[in-house]
Amino acid sequence: MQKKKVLLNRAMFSIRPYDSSALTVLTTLFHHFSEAGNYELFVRRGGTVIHRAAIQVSEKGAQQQLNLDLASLRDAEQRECCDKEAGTRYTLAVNSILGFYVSQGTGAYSVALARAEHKERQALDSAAHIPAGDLFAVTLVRPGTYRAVNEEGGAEAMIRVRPASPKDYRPDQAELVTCDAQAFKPKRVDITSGHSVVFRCEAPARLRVELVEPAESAPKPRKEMRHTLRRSSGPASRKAT
Amino acid sequence: MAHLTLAVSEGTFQRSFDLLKRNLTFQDSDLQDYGAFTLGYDVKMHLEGGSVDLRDDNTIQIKELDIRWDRLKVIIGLDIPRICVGGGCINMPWPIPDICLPRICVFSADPDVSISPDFASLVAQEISFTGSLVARYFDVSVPLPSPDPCQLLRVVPLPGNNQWQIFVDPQTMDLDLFDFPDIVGDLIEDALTSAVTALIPGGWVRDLILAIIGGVADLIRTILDIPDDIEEWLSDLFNVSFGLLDFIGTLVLDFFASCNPIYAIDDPFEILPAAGGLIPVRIPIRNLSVRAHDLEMVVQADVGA
Repeated sequence: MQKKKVLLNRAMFSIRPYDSSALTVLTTLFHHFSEAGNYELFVRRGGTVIHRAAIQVSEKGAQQQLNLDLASLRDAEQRECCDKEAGTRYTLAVNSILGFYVSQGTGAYSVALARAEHKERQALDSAAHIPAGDLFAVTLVRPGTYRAVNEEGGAEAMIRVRPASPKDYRPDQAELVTCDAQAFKPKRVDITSGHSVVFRCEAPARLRVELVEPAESAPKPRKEMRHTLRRSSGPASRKAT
Repeated sequence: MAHLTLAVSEGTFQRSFDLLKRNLTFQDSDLQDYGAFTLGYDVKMHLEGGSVDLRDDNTIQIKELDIRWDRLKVIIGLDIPRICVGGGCINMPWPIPDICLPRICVFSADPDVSISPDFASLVAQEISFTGSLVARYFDVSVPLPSPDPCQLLRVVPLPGNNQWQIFVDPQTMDLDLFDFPDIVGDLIEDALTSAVTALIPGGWVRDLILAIIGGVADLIRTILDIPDDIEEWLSDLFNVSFGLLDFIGTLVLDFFASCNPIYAIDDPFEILPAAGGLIPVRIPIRNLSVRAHDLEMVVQADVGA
């Protein structure tokens, strides 16, 4: 067997707030296309546009969901999805979902969607806020207590992340939380490490999820290295038998 | 009545057999890819011990010949499946479709681990066979078959002249199956567990990864599709899948029966060396036959014209 070079996805385990305005590893933004039309997609990293694409949303479009890995978009020219001459183009159905996530690396991304015919009409600018109807998902791996804040209205929710147990563990579980300008529903969510919380925004929102208190790892029993024998007071008195 | 009769005692025959047997070595390696895992071996063996029994029924019995492993490496490679978090779908109200989350993976690719423990000191096998003694004529003018099946097994050099050759020709052979002791299963499991664990960072990250893969021991058993007894599984591999047992049996058969005579007599046989300007005196040997008796091997031949 030819041994492969395998790298650990360290960004998954670094501790930092998850912010809808700066998409990083373990966060996903889902945009809902409720209207047919032609859109232009801009993906920014550190303020610089790193990827542009045309999106056609039509009644005839068959694709209901497309998830784009922002960390691998630089390879878009090699993708088989797209017309090389006309640039990258995605075709989706009305009411479909376009997801943006980051699979690896430490980069923070933002995405913007504008109507091609009316560039001033922005359908999405994640750096500013998430429009109503869109969703923001966070996959939480470090056990502990997290606070979710909607910076648009100040609403807060608590997320408790329990450590995963090998017995019957399935990582592909998600909890849905609704957020409007005033509050999250529910306000308290319990999940297991590696599971996701999906926030569905009913009003424009800017969401931030941060670790408030990490769960203490169970201390491992310390191996006794020394054995001390104590002599009882007075000289040893061993009876001869 | 034969013109010549020659007898070799059982003790002398034993020493001749020991000399020949000492030169039988075998080494081989192979690696087979089964997709999610690779299995292979890297082995080297020689023969030791064994007793020779010449019997009255014209047979010879070689008993308890030890197969000594100088190297008995088992190569096990695992292609660990992707370890990812996230994923799953959530139901959304119409007209929004169900939304499926991406999976984020811990490693950039499926990690591989490989171990190659050496169990030479833990495995012992014996080989015994019963056969006969066979005399064959080696005619130097007849070309060797091509390819020569004895090319890698021949330790007795090819003669430069015609010869009568006496071979030990095994008829039935008993060869112990590979039987790995219980400790081998533990050693393999420990080595694989260490190799997999070494890939994973410590602390809560390890707890999470172990939860995803369901524990290292279970992962290993799942990938390799092995039952409870690793040692039994390994024994089956060596006995059946790798075909090593058949190979060793064939090797021993060919080594003694076809490739290396235990004794050889030149034809013509020199009875007086060249001396005083005279050419050597050689007599042609004809109709050579060999028999085993209880205490000795007896060779008889005629002096031909």
